[in-house]
Amino acid sequence: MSPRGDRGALPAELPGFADFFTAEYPRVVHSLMRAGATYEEAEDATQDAMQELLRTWADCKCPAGWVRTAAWHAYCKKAERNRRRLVLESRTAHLSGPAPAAPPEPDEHKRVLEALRALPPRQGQVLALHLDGYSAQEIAALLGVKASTVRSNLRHAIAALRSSLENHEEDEGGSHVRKG
Amino acid sequence: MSARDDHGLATRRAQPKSTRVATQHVHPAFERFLRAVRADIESRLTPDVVQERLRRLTGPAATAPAADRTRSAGVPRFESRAGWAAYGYHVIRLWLLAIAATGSPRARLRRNDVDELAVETVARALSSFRDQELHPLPEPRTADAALKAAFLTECVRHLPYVNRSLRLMTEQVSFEEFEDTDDIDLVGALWDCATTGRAEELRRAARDAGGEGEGEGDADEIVTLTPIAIRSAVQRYPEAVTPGSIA
Repeated sequence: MSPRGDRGALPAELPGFADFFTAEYPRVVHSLMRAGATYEEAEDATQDAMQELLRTWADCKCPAGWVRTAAWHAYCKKAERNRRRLVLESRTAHLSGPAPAAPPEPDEHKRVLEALRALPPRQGQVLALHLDGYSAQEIAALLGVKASTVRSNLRHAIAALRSSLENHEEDEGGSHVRKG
Repeated sequence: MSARDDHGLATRRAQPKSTRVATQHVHPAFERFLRAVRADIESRLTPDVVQERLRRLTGPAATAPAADRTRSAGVPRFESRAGWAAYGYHVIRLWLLAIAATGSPRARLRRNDVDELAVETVARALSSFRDQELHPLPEPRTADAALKAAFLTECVRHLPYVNRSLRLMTEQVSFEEFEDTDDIDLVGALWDCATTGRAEELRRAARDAGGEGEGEGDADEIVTLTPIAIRSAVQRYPEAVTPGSIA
């Protein structure tokens, strides 16, 4: 091994990978954020997926689709773990200390995030790919399901999102009426 | 709805459109969220940050100047990338300006969207074009017509995706409308512009663009290559560009 370690020897494919990374990295992060990931979660998941892609770069026939799928799985895994940890920490804090003040009213951005995160993972994934410009047929090929299933998932995702946001508006409107 | 759908064509068409459209619009709050996310990404993920992330992943050598790197296998170097980007942007912009000028109902294209569509399409086309070529690519000025046609094929391939993505991001487009490829057919509108004697719009757009294109896009060549690229895209990527576009 060279004094520079493994980095002394560049894989021959790396220049191609560098171009791919430069073009696709922001798009994958963007795609995950549109599906409800925080910026940090999206970056972590995309980095993990790109790292994995780098190992199989020479054999990967469809890197753009591959990296999106891998990033989505990495995001789901980490996000689920992080949120479970936060819930546990929050419960522990409740038990050990005085009751916290009522949480502030979530703003619109947070409400959309909550609605997105409440979607079943497959619906969220389909929505993310859809917003990234993929057609139903392409998503179907990527996920190994029928195009009709993709459309159904997408329809349910959009309807659920809309319903969730509208319900909140109604609740908010109702509470205002009651207060008045 | 695509004609390739093996399940829903008849049943979905049988349903009255108006009752579905009302429920399938993206919620305004979600639209605002998408815009905010986009602005957030643009402000935080600058090219420098992306390069820093790349360095973190592959080490400093990966982002060093490419001159001393040799390629023995796999995807070839793409040192002429900037030239192809300029050429692609120039041609796609002419296409879109010509379509916008015709006011084709197949495309419903606004002039304000032309630049964004062209930039995003050429970015995607560059990636897939580079991935397919097995030899170092010359500058577009010295490239033969076949190579240019291959590049423009990639541009045609990505155009519908980018258009869909942009429309969904910037307009209140219903899911049904979004999926209805018969309804929004940018490639079909381009085909109309480039064939059947209507290439005049394309030539006019090229004339109007005059000095902007640094000479990359000779109008005659673009008019000749455009239908070839569209046909080629239909043959190679029927999932992206439906044969109905050139019917």
